[in-house]
Amino acid sequence: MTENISPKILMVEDDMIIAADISMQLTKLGYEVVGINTRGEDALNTIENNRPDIVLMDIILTGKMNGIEAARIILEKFQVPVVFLTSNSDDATFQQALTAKPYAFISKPFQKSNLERTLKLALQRIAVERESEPVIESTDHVSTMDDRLFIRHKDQMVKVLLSEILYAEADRNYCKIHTEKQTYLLSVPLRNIESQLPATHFFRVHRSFVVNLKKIDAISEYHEYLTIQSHQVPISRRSKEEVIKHLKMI
Amino acid sequence: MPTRRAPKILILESQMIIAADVSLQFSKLGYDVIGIHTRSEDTLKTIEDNRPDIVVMSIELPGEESGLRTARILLETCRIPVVFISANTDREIFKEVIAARPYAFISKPFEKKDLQRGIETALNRMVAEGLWDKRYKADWIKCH
Repeated sequence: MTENISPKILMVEDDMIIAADISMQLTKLGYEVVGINTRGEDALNTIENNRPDIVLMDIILTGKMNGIEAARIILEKFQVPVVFLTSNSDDATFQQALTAKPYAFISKPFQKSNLERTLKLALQRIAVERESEPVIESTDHVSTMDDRLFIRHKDQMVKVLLSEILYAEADRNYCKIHTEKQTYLLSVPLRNIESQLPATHFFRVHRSFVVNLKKIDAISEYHEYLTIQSHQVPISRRSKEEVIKHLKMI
Repeated sequence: MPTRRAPKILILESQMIIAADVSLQFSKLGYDVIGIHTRSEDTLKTIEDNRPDIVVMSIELPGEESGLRTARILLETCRIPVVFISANTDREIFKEVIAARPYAFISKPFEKKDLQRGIETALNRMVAEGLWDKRYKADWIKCH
């Protein structure tokens, strides 16, 4: 996991006043709350095309399914970790909640510090588990001609000229390709994309970034980051020397 | 006979801190906030399954669907009233805002009363258009 990107959290909670309040606390703690749903059904729909790193789930919800059922589906279908945040903390409920294999269980009312620590621990455990997971190898999303890629986008394979690519960014097993016009999200890891790009023009400047060398507009004084149009791309310490070799500087 | 209930509001705003604030204010005013989305794609994906009475949304949104395009889909295709919240005062953009025919426009920064007035203006127009029951509104106002 990249350290400088704030973890994305989706909240599923039927009491909107509590949800809004927790969401503000989380935002202040540096998390990115990507949404709040009051029904489990909506959460499933949201997660389908916008994966959070973690779901903070209440057990009592307004829709047809309760939080435990929703959490089970989220784990099975999307492998997104769930932390329960609930006021019904009786033992029977807790035993049931365990079947959804949550990463933590927080009882309401809770202290802010408790929420913060629990989330940190959960994210740490997620990171540890991810490290030991094999990366899925697949290139079926991408096929190449010399000057272009065809990328799966909304049920079609669309052309993206290599000369239009600004940079590619890793997002765990996903990868974002930023072009001048738009950004594509692909469900393949960055290294699969990297292997499809010519090494003469594309260079991995950071564990999570491959840039088009021709698109670099500026490099910071101590070579900490690159500017490509309005985007800033970090350069890892290891890659600094290599990056500089590619650029003529006076 | 309609059951007594508060208008359901969905909030679409990319900045969670603002969205949470708006949501708290609406909840305190007695409205039923059914969700907060930070991306328009999420709204378009869930809207048909869980229809709000009003979508309160920002014009400036990241993602493939811009705020204005999303608003047009909500208003024209889904027939759901939209209230804009925006800090943008650009004249050209405002022309497009008007062309999308929102039910109200709230400028940022706003106070609680701006939110209240914006949403009440929208509800009034909805009553006039037959999208919201007047008695229903009276009932709901009585009970909070």
